[in-house]
Amino acid sequence: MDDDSVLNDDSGSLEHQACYIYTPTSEALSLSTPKKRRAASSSRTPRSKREKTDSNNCETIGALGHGFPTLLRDLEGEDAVNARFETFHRLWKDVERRTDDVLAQVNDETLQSVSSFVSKASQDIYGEKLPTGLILTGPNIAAHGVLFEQIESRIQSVDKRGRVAILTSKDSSNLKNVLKKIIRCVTEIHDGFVDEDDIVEAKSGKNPSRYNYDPEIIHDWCSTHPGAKVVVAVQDTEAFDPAVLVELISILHQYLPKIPFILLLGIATSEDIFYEKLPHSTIRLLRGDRFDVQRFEESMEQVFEEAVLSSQSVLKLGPRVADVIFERQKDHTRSVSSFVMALKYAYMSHFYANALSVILGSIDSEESLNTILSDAHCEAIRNLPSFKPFVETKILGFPWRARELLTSNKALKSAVFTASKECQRYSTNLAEAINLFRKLQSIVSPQQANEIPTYELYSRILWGEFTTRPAFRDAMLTTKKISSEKFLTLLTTLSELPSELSEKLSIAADKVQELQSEKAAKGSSLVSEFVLPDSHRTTVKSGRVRLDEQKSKMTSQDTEYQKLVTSTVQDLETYFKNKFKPYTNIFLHEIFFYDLKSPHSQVFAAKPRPSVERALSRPGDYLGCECCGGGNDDDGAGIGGSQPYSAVLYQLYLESPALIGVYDLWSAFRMVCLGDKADQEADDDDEEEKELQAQFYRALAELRYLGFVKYSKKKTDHLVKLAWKGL
Amino acid sequence: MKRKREDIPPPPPPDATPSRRSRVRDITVDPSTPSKANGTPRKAVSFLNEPSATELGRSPRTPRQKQIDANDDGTADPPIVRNANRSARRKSVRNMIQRSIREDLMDEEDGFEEEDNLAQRIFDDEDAGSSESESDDEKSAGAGTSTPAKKPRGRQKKKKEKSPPPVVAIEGPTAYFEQNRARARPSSTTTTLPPLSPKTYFRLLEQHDDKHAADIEHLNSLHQANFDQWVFELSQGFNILLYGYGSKRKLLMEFIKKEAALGNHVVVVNGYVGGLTIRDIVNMVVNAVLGMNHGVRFGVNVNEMMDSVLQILDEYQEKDEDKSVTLLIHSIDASALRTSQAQALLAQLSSHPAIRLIASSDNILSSLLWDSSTLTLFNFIFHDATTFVPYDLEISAADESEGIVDVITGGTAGRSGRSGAKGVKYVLASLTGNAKNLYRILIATQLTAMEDDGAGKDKMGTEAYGIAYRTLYQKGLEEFVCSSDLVFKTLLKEFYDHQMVTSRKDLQESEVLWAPFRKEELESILEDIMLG
Repeated sequence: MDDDSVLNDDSGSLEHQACYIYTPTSEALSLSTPKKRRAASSSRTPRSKREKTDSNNCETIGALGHGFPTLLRDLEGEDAVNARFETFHRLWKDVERRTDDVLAQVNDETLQSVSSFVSKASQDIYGEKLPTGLILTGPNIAAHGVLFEQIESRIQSVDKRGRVAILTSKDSSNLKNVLKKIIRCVTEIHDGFVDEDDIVEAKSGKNPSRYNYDPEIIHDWCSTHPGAKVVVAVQDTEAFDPAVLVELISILHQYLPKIPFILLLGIATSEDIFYEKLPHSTIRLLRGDRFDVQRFEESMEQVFEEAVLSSQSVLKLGPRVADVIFERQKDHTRSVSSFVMALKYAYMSHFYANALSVILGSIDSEESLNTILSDAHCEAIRNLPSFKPFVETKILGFPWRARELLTSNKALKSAVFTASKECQRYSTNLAEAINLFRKLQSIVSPQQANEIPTYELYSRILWGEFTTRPAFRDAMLTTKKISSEKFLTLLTTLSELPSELSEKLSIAADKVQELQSEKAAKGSSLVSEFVLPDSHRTTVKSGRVRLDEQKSKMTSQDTEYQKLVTSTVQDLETYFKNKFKPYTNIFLHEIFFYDLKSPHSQVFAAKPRPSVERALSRPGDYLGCECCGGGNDDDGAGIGGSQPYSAVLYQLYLESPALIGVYDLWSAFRMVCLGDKADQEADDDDEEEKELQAQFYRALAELRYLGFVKYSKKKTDHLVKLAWKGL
Repeated sequence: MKRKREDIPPPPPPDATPSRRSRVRDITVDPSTPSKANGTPRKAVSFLNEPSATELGRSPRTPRQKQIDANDDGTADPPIVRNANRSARRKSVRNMIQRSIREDLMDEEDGFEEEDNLAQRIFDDEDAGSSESESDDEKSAGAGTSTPAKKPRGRQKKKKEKSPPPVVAIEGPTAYFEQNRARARPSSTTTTLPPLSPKTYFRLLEQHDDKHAADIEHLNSLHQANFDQWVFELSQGFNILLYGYGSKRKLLMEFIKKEAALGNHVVVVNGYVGGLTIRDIVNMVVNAVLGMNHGVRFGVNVNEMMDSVLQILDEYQEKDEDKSVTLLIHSIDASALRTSQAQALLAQLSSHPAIRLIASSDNILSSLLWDSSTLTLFNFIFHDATTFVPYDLEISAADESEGIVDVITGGTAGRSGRSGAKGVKYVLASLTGNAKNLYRILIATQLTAMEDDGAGKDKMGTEAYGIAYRTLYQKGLEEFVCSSDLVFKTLLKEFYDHQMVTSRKDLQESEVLWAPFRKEELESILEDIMLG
C-alpha cells in the first residue's frame, strides 16, 4: 500500500505491529531522574484536594518510584513524603489483612456444609440417585469463581476427599469437551496437546487404550485411589447449555455404580428456574441438598465493621464518599471485593494528595509527630476549615491560647496531638454507639435491623442528623413498648457491650430482674403504661376511663418498673444524641475522615459516551479556547467553523435524520467550515476545497470508529445514524 | 365533551355550501340537544368563542385570520364578534369540505409540505402563514362547529405530531423519534463526492496545520500531569482505562516511558491492528518475562495456555515482588479484541499482580464489552483522557474494507458509479495474481460485449453485457487461474464482498456475472491490471 510511507513517523513501523516489547530509547531512560512538571489546576483532574491543601504544584520523587508527589508547594520535606507513603502502606496493609480475614470466613459456613455433604454422600444414602448439591450463590457472579475455587481447595486439599472438576459455561460447547475437561481435572494429565481425539496410552499393560473422553479413564483412576470421590461442579448452571447438562447428568448417573460421582450445581437465580430448565426424567436422577451462601448484605456488613468502624482503622470514610461508595454497591456491583477496592482507593487518594495525612502515621507518639511536622505543615493546618472554629472556641475562654495557636508552631503541634486523640476518641465512641444501637434495633425490631444495614446508617450518623430520623425515633418508641421479658434481655445484652452506659444498664437489669421475680410470685408479669393496648380507645373520655382502669390494676412493682423503663430509654437517647454528633465539629476531622466525592464518583464509573458527546458538541469545554465558545455560554456554543472538524461534523450529524446522505453531510460541512466562501462555485483543483474534503473524510471515519454511524446497506452512499445524543 | 358535540349534528352535505343564516341556526339548535343542556344559544356562542381566544394567547405564530378575530373580541361587541366568528367559521367549513373532497391528495401533500417547509415554517412565520392558517382554522372548526366527526379528528391528530420543535433544539429521545419517523426525505443520491486518492488524502492531512494545536497541547500537558498518579494507581494493583474523544496513542506512549524507566517490562499492544489475536498478546507477555527464546510451548487451547502463563507469572514474581510487566493496550475495544473470550482472558491476565494493565478505549459503547465478573477482574480505574488528537492510525489501520479506504472512495468500493473504480483498483492491489487475472478476464469479456454493442464510454455495465458463470469458470480453467470450482468460488467471493461484481440468475437459471461500472472505468481498471 502506498500510504505506508506517508504514515511512518519517528516510531517507525511499530505502530502497525500488533504487539511488541517496548524498548525504551535513551531519551526515555534519562527520564528516571526527577523531572519537574507543572500541574496546572484543572477541574478535570480528580485531585481537587490538591487545591485545598497546597495550591497546585507537584513533583515526582524518583527515589520512591511510586509517583508520590511533593505537596505544599514543594515545601514538603522528602522524609515527610516518604513518611506519607510508608504510613499509607502500613495502615492499608493492616486494613487489608483484617478484611481478608473476614472475607475468608464469609463462605466458611457454606464450605463446611458442602464439605460434609461430600464426605457423607455415598451409595447407602442416595441409592441409585446421583448425589447433587445445589449451591444458591446469589446474583453476584463476580464472587462465584472465588467460591468454587474455595470449594475445590477445601475438598481437594483440606479434606482430601477426592478430586473436583469445575465446569463453566465456556466448556459447555459439547459433551466431549466437558468429559475431557473432567478427565483432565481428575487425572491431572496435562500434556498440552490433547485437543485432538488422541488415544490415551494405557499406563499398565492390562487396560486397553481408550479415547481421551472416555469416562472409563476416571474409573481406572478410581481403582488406584480407593475411597476418593469425584466431584463435578458446574459454576454457572444458568449459562450452561441445558442439552449438554442433561447428557452429562445421564452419563454421570450411568457411571455411578463404578465411580463415586457427586454433582455440585451453582445457581445464581432460584431453584424453580433450575427445575424448569431440565426435563423431569433428568431431575429424577438427582437427589441431594441445597446450600445457601451468605447474603451479600451480611458479608458486606461484617467487612464494613471491620474495615471502617473498627477502632484499629485510623482513617475513616466521610459521609459523602460513603454515600457514593454504598450507592454504587447497592445499585451496581453488590460485591464485597469491589467495596474493599473503593476503600483502598480512598486511602490512596488521601495519602497521595493530602500532605497532612502524615499525621495519621504518628498519632501514638507526640515526639515523632513533632519531628515530622514542618513549618509548612503547620501553616497548612492553620488553613484547614476546622481550624477556624477551633480557635474561635478558644478565644472566649483562653485568648492567650488562641494567640499561641496562631503564632507558635510548638503550641499548634501539641494541639494537633490532643486533637488527634480527640478524633480517635470520637470514632471509638461512634463505633461503640453504632454497635449498641444496632444491637438494640436487632432486639427491638429485628425486621428493620435486617432491612437497613449499618453502612447505610453510617453517613446519616456522621452528619449528626440520624437522631432526628424516623428510624431512630421508631427504635426509641418501640423500646418503650416492648414486653418486660424482652426489656430484660435488651438490658443484659446491651450492658455486655463496652460503653459508658454498661454499668447503668446492668444495674437496671438487676432491678428489673428483681421486680420481675417479685411479680412472678404473684402470678403475673411486669407491665408498664406504654405496653397497654390503645387500640380500643374510641373517644378521649372512654380512653381515659380504660387507662385509669388499667392503671389501677398496676402494682407498685409495675410503677417502679415503668420508672425504670422511662429513665433507661431517656439515658439511651441522651447517650446516642451525645455520640451521634456531626463529625465536622472536631478539629482536624479533615485528616481523620476522608470525604472527597470527586475522584470516587469518576474513577469507578466510566462515562465514555457522555464524555465523547460533550467533547464533540462543546469542544470549548475541553480545549478552553476562545474561538469555540470557551464554555462561557450555557446553551452550548452551537456549530462554528472554528471548531475542530470532527466536532462540526458531529453537530451536523446530530441534526441529521436517521439516514444520512454523505453528500448532504458534505455540503453542510462545507458550508459551515468555509463560511462565506462556500458560495463560490468550487472547481475541482481547488486546494483548499480538497483539504477540507480530506478533513471531512477523516472526521467521518472518526465518527464511524467511535461508533456513531455505519454504512447503510439500503442506499448507496448513505450512513445510518446509530446514536442519539442524550439517549 | 367536544367530541360529543361534534358527533351529534349530521354532517352537512359537501356540495351545498351553507349560507350564513343556516350555519347560525345550526349552532343555535345544537346546544338544545340533550348532550349538554347548558342553556341558551348565546352561551353556546361564547363557549365557541373561547378556544380560539385562548389559542391566540398560546401560539406565537397565529395566522392573520385569527388576529382579526382577537381584535374583534377585544372590542367586546357581541354582534361583531358573532359576525367575525361566523365568517371565520364559514371559511373554515369551506376548507373542511374542500379537504374532505381531496383528502387523499392532501395526505401526500402533507408529507411533502412538511419536508419542504419545515425550516421555513420555523424561521419564517409570514411565509408559512397560508398553509398554517388553513390548518389552524380547521382546528377551531373542529373544536367548535358542527363538522363531520371522523375526518377532522384524524386531521387534528396528524396536525399535532406534525408541528415539531425547532430542529436545532432537538436532543435525546425526542430527536430519536423525530428523526426515525417514516417518511421519504429527498436526499441527493445522484450526486456523490468527488474522489480523493489516498496519497492526496494523507498529503493534505499532513500539510494541514490545526488551529487548535496549542489547545490540544495544553490538554495533553494536563493529562501528563497525572502520570505520577497513574503510576501510583498501577502500583497499587489497579488497572487503568482511559476513555474520551481523541487518540490516546501518543499520550500512552509518553506515559510508557515512565513505566519503562521504573524498570518494568513493557508490552505494547496495538489493538486496532487487524489480525491481532489474544494468543499474540499472551505470547508476547511470556516473551517479556522469559526472554525471546524461552522454548516454552503452549497447548492449542487458549484457556489452558492462560493457566500456564499465569503460572509462569507466579514464578516470575516469586523471585522479586516488585517485578512486573506493564501491558499497554491501545484501543482495547478494537474489533480484533471484541470477542467476549478475548476480554475474559485479558481480564484474567490483568488480574494477576504481576501485570499492570493500562488501556485506552474509543467506542462510545465500549462499556458493554464487560460483564460484572470480567469488570471485577479488570479492577479498572477510569480516567477521562479527552485529547482531541485525530485518530489517524486507528482509522487507517482498520480493516481495508471497513476503514478509511471506504470513505475515500465515497462508500464501499464500487457502490457509487464514479468513484467506485478507484476503490476497485485499491482492492485489486491487495489481491493475489490469480484473483487479478480472473477479474481481468471478467471485465475484458464484458468490455468486448460492450464494444460490440457500440456502447458509449459512460454506459454502465449491466446484465446484458454479463458473462455466464460456467463460461467464466471455463476461461479461468484455460488460463490456469483456478483449478477447481471451489477455488473459483473463493476468488469470486472476494469480488462479491467488495461489490466489484454483481450477478443474477437469468431465465434459464444460469448465473450471469458482470462488473457494475461504466465502460470508461472498466477500461481504466483493465489498463491498471495489465500494467500492474
